[in-house]
Amino acid sequence: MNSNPRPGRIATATALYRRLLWVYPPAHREAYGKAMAQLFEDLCRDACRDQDRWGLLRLWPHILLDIARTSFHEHIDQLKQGDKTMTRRQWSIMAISAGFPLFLWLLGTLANPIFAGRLIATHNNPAQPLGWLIALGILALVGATGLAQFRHFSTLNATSEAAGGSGRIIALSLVLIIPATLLVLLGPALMQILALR
Amino acid sequence: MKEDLPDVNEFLPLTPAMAHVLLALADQERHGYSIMQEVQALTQGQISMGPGTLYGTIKRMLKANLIEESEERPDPEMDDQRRRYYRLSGLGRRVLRAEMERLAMLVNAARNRKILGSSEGTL
Repeated sequence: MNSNPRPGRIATATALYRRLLWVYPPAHREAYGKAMAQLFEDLCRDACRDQDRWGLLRLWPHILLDIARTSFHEHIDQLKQGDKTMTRRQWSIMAISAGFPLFLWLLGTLANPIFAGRLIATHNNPAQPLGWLIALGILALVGATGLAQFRHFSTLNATSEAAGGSGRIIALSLVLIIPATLLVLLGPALMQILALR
Repeated sequence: MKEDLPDVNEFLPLTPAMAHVLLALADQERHGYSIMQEVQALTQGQISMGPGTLYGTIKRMLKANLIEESEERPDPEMDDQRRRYYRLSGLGRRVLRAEMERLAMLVNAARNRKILGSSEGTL
C-alpha cells in the first residue's frame, strides 16, 4: 500500500489550506493552526488513498464550508469574550474609509434621478447591466478595503507589534478607495453616455 | 477545604460535536486525526468533522475543563509528525456519563411510545 500517495498534490493542497487559515482570528490561528493543517493533510491522504483521482477535489467543498462556518464562530466567540482586537479609533478609521465611497454613491443616487432610475428600472435598458456592474465593483472594493484594514488592525493588537505597517495598510486602502470613489463619481456619467449612444 | 465540584447539569445538553468527541476519548487518549476517525466509526460514517469544527470544539472543551491536553508525541501507527494528544478529565467523564444517561432516558421514552422498537427486537 502506498503510505503517501500523490505527495505533490497533497503538499500543494495543504499549503493552500494554510493560507486559508488566515480568516481565523490570530489567537486561534496561533494556537491551533498547525494542528488544523496537520489534520487537513491527513484528510487529503485518506481522500487520495480511498477514492479515485477526484477524491482530493471532492474534499474541498466540505473543507471550505467548514472554514466559512467555524471562522465566523471563532470571531464571534472572541468578541463575546470581550477580547477587543481593535481599538475604537481603528474601528472609526475602517468605517470612514470603507464607508466614504458608499456614502458618495448613496448621495449620487439620491441627487441623480437618472442614475437612480437606471438602477431600479425594470424595463429593458442597455445601461442597466453596467449600472449593476459598477455597483458590484464599488461594493467589492469597499469590502476589500474594510477586510484588509480589519485584518491588519486585529493582528496588530493581538501580537503587540509596533505600528510600522500602518503606513502600508493606509496606502493599500487608498489604492482600493480611489477607484471605488471614481466609480461612484463617473459611473452615472458613463451610464448616461452609454444610454445615449 | 472541600473543593466545589462543578454541577454536570450546567453542561447539558451537550452539542453533538462535544458529545461525539467526549465519547471518542472515553477509552483512550487520542490526537485530532484519531478523534475524527473514531467519531466516523462511532457514527458509521454519518458524521465527519472538518479541522475547524474539531479544533473549535476541542478549544471550548479545554476551556471548560472537560478534556486535558497530554504531551505531544508521534503516533507509532502513523508518520513521524508529533501530534497533540487529548484525554478526558474527571469532569469530562462525569459530564459524558450524565449526557449518555439523559439520552438513554429519551430512548426509553421513545420505546414506551412505540417510536422505537424494543432493544431485543428489530425496528
